[in-house]
Amino acid sequence: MSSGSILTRRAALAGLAAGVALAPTRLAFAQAAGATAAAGNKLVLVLLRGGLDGLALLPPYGDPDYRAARGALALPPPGEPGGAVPLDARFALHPAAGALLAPWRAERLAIAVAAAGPYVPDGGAAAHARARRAFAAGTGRADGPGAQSGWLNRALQLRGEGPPTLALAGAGRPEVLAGPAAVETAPPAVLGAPVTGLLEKAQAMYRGDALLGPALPRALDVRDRPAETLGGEHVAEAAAGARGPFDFAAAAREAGGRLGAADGPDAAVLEVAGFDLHFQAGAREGVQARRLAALATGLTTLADALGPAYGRTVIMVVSEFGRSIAPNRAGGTDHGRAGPVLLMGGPVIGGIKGGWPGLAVDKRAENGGLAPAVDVRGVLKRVLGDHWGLSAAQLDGAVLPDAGGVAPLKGLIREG
Amino acid sequence: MALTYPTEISQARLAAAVAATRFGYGARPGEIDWIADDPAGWLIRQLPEAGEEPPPALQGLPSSAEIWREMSAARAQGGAALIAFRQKVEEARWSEAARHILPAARGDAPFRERLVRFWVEFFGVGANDPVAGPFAHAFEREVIRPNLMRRYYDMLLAAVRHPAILLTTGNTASLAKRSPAGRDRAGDLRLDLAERILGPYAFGAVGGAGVGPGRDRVYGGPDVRALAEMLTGWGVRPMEEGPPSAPAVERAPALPTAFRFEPRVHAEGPKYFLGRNYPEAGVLEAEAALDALTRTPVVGRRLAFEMARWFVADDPPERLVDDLTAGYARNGGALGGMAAALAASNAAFEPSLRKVKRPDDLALSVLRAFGDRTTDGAAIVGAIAALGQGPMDFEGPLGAPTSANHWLEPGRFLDRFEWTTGEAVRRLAGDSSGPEAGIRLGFDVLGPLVSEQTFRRLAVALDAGESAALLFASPEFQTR
Repeated sequence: MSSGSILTRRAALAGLAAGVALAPTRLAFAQAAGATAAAGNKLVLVLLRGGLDGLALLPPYGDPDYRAARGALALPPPGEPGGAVPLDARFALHPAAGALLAPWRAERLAIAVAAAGPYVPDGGAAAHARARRAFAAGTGRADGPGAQSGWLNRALQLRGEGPPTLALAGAGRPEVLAGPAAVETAPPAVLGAPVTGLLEKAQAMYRGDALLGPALPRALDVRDRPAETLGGEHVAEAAAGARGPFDFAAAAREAGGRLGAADGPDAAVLEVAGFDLHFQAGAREGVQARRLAALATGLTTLADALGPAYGRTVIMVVSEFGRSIAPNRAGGTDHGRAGPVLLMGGPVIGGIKGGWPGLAVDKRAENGGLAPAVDVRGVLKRVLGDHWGLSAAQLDGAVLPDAGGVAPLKGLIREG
Repeated sequence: MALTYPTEISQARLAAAVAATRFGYGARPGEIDWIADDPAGWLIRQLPEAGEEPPPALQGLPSSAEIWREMSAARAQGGAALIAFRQKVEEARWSEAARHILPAARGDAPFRERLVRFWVEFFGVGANDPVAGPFAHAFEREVIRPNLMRRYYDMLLAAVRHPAILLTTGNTASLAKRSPAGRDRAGDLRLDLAERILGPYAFGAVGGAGVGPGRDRVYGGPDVRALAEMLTGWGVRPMEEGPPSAPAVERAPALPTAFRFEPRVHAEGPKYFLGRNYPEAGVLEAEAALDALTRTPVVGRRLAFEMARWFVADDPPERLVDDLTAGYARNGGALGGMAAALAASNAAFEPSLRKVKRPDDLALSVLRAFGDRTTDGAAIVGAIAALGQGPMDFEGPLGAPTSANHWLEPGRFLDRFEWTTGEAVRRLAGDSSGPEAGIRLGFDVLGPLVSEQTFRRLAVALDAGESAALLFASPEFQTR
């Protein structure tokens, strides 16, 4: 691994950003070198709908406030029965997500533990949708620069001609891909058309059945509870037809296979719903643990399906926001602020990234969530810059124009 | 095939369908027809012969002695080494599970695999136990599979000598006051192993209350102490005794079992256990006690009850437990005899008895319904985990829950419903045969178990995918 050419390229790119005039031959060389290194590099974006509970996925067992702050949602520390799996001396992994130990041990899993997007919670309605839109646009302001399209689409335009980006999301084109660059939304045959009302249809089969007969109405109650008790946006979320956690493995297999194929697309966007767990999330066992298992095993499925292309793919996992640190009265958590961003893949430098703001009450975000230590757009800049070869000028000018002051997060992408 | 519900039911095909779903992991298309020739014979032919090689998928995985060596080193170093060891254990939990699932998913001896699972969970060396957890899959390979058909005594002895159980019960630190090493010190008699043997591994959680003739409990505190004394000295070889840097080639043929008997801490003198005197005989005392224990009729009945509850019904009928108890006793306490009795018991085939499928049952039966012989064990393990049953995800004896109450809890029920629906819709995407597709699949893999009520519902499904989704959601498919 020669760092010389990379340094040259970085310097050239930095020069571009600063508006320094370079000799034409030198500039051409820098662009060619950057383009060559980044050509064929793949990016998979996994969007977790609903707000991932980062403290469930990654219990910060070294934080002195962890047990008290999380109450019944806390996991025992490593070494105790049912305890979490240590990643380092501070952070652990939920055992349900233990499939992620393979990339972690291979130093191909980076976790920015307290990252937040441009959306700032204001207590207003439609928090999920607004947070997702802000992330997709790269700006928290409705009239901010870039608000009319998605950052990934803008990056794809700069990257130039290539096969259309693959979208495996619930309904149509994800917001992050809004814009002119071509997108292929997976045909229903790949994932199967969502079946609505099937539980109700099953009712006729369960009539008189001593086991399933009584189970069904109870299940319907639980299914409808978020919409009924929280109302508003949760009604729309329930009806949005987003891909549930159980489609993730199939979507991952499809995306990995397509990106890994010769002349496959350079990017894919996958959406996974089911993380908005306001009720009875559980700790070691329960719906939270099941979602984490679906996430972790789906990610390793994606890595496997990519085949050799895994070596030049960055998989980025991000959610619209984190959750409240403390459990709510219903045994779940409410909307919070910062949460983890995961990067996985051959080019990734593994490890815990960014600062840790702590769980103490006076350190928390206003809504009781984790305070942000990293701007998600700093992660995007590093990935799009180092992995896709976009220049600082391109990032600040076109891709993330509202994030000019956000520095790329260090130590995420391997050189060469 | 015309969309009509058959007016006559073949009893042989019914028995075949029950055999495939209750004792196996569900039928593959067409399987019911040839199982129907001889359902009990189909089950018995799956039982392994003595000395049979383990399935290829399970070969080349680490032995408990190797795991113990790494564990000892990590514990001695602590800090980062211990963290690294725990990470390796967790990675192995998932990667080994992906191999251990393959015989059940791909193989043709699903009854054997289900028996393995029963005994694995009965002994309960699970990942949630931080001491025994690292050995969970090795325990299956070393204790359960080789002894599947042998006497319960053989399996119990192998289990009790295994480092997973010696370490998690703290027996390695047990020290009899009346022993050469205890002479000048206060004794430190550990009761945990004896309690585990007498309770979960023999008489059950209630200590045999209600099953012994005319007694509340079959055993008492003095029996626990006596067995604990007999077990003093049963421990694990410290790993510094081994040649840690010896080349693997030389070490491999003579890999030591980690078991060691240490006479210096063993209690002297005779012991009185379950109404019998045991003269002082070192390591042989506890071996004799285990032998006597496994010949106790009440213990045979307890094992029969657990097997019946695990295989057939949360509340198994007396007649079935009688059959299994007799199978155990007739064959001198051989587990193969009990398994064969299960396959031959009329009570075990009663179609009205049901258990709700656990996620492993459900995922494997969906896979088999499509005749899928995938080699991607990780994907199956992932699906099962996403439905709430992580690999070796239990802490102690009797393993993961099997009850209907547990698996039909609303959240778990919703999830399994959504998962089977996705599988059905994806697999039948592009099938234009309409609801007939689900009905045909139903008759193929459930045979006469498909009820007329379910048949009618499937017949009015919108398309192939929906009919298959409803089939997988049906009570017949959700239970076994």
